[in-house]
Amino acid sequence: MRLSALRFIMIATVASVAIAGCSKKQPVGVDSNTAARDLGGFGPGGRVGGAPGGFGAGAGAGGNAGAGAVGQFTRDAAGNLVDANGRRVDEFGNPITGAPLGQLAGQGGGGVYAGPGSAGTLQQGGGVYAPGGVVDGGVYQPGGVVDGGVYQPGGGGVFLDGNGNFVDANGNPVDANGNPISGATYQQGGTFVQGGPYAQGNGGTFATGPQAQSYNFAGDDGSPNYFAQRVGDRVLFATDSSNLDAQSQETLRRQAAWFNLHPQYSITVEGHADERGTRDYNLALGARRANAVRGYLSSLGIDPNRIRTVSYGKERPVNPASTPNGWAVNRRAVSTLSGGNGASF
Amino acid sequence: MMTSLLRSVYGAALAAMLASVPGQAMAQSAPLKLTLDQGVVEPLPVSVLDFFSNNGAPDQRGAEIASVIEADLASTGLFRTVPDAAVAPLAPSFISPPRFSDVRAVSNAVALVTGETVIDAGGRMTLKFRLWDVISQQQLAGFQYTADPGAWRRMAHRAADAIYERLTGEPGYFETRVVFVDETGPKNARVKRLAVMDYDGQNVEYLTGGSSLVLTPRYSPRSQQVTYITYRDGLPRVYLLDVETRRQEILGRFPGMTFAPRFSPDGSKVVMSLAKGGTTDIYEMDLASRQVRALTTGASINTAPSYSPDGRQIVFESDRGGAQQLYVMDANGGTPRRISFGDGRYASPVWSPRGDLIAFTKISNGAFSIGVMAPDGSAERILTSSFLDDSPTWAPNGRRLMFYRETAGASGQPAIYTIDVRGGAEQRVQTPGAASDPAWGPLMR
Repeated sequence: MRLSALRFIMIATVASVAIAGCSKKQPVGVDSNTAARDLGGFGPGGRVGGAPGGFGAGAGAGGNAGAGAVGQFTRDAAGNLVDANGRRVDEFGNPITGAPLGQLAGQGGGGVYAGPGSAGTLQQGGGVYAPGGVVDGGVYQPGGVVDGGVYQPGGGGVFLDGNGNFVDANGNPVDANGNPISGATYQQGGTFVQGGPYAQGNGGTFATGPQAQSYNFAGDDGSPNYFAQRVGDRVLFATDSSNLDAQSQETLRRQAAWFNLHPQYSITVEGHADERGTRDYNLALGARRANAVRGYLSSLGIDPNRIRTVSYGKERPVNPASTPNGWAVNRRAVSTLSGGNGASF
Repeated sequence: MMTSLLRSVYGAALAAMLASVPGQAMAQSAPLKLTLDQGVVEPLPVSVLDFFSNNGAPDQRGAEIASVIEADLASTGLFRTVPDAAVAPLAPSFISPPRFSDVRAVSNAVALVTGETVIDAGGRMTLKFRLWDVISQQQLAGFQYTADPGAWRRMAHRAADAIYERLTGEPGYFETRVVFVDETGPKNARVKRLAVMDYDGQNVEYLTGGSSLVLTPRYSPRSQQVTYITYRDGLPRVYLLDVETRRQEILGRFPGMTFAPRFSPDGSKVVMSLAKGGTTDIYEMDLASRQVRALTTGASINTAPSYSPDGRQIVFESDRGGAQQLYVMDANGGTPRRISFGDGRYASPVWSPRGDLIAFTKISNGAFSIGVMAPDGSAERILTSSFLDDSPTWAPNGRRLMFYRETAGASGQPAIYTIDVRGGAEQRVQTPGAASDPAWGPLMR
């Protein structure tokens, strides 16, 4: 066969072709050539306004009544909040533990309460929120704290101590009806009564929510490290779930209590998934988990504007093992802190 | 005669592959042709001889070019390369045809490729090749390409594409690039970099430096643009990146995190997910106007959207029914209907460029599989299964899938694989390091 018989098809002489793709380019990486961008809506602005220790502006018009006193708290050598007179107070300025609670009745709102139903008896969820304090299912009297119990202005009431036990105005253990419990011991502690849900913005009513509890953050130095190590910075989830179980709810109540103690921090909740899911879905699942935590914290009284969320999907396991135990600790939502002194984000 | 004798050697296999109608198939004039709509059959034996150089003898570059073409063809599973040492002396020159009768005596190759490269005075390289049908002794194709010698691989891929197209009747996919995520470091502190490579793992270029977590890049079907997510702003956001210029920009300023982006077939839009308040919904952004509209609503997770090639429908995954399943909706968000009904969970759907299939990841019985189904959910076929297979992506001609497979354990790592859409011919793509989230780009011409 002669060459001339070949059907040599000349096509596509690609001179300057896109084969330019092979010419050397300056690799300008994504990490070096673009200025930081304005996210809008995030950043450290999540910090709640108002004086340290108070709910601040988020609590609405009525929320600042106690701010003057609140701002004067300091910590004693043991790390407990004390007021200008050295008396132990909670983060709202309310004297706690051994302080004669009854004397507070007169501060603020007049100290007379007539609850729904029978006089002097509070009904869960039917209470009233008043400036500067926290209640849960009960009635707040300025300067005092109650929790679903019976408040008797001027003494004789039933209160919750820092460990969640009923006590009378003198700190002695009582039952829910105010009757003394013989043999019980009242323990003092650096505690406060942690708030239940409060209604933002109107300083008045609130809705029912998780049961308020109190916590003892012994040795609390207010550091992110203390939060992570001693308060508990994370909750775990079942596979493909964003439900908060009882243990997670307890952890978040502790977190909320601590956040109330340290309002200088804003919070980022990081949602994570284990490796047993697809990448896109796990990003969405992590977002769902982070949001579940955010919602629960806000139901406990933490200003949702103080909390941002981010999902890492399955990108940041803490345990690299491909085992049920490894996956269990990787399905998590971690509350991280920003703002505050020396805290980094 | 010899021709029909040899054809009979391949018997049913060749007969099935030959496009010619029965009866005509044995005629000497019948062109050598595969059809890809049949099941997997005996691969067609081919030989690609080392390319000649300027001085008329094969050089190292010529051998490398032949290797690239052979690898391209063999990777499809449609062809197998046969030793050519005995054949080469029978094709001593590019300018004359091989001695076919002698070739048939020493080789069972039915297709033969010869070629040469010429460097001109300006330093540019011209690659020429011919594809021969050994049986009919006809030249089936002959092309030449000219470019910078540094682009020799690309020219070799282009030649392989032409060979593939001539023998199958469908466009090849070898002169393509793939964007992916390069992974280094331990599993709990992984560094991820955006990178682009030739489809076969060569010519890797890194597009980001690794200081920010990057995930799920997707190639535009129409250009060298990539959309991906990066945590550079502290939370995942969808960005647009031009592979050629490296210019990039954020897509939209949404109140929450955005992820799972993908281009529309015409490259004019990007669909993505926005997570807000614990729910995840799908949004469409017009790239020219930057207008955004929601395509899904509700309290569930709706993510991983992918357009049909005509742009009229979108397949996505949702747990609105309780667990991850695949749904198809109109491109404006209308009339969503569930299409996956098998056991397990379905995720990561991607519509084939041919329109005939939807690839997906299936999670069932503790294993992750890549599979395909018809757009109405019928004819499900599972192609792979392992500890973790995910992120299927289509070759531009819809005949092959790429995905990543991650091994289990603390030292587990991802790697990229390809597989024939009919099943089989699974190949690992040789990347420099661990690699995940591949996305196949368009033909570069």
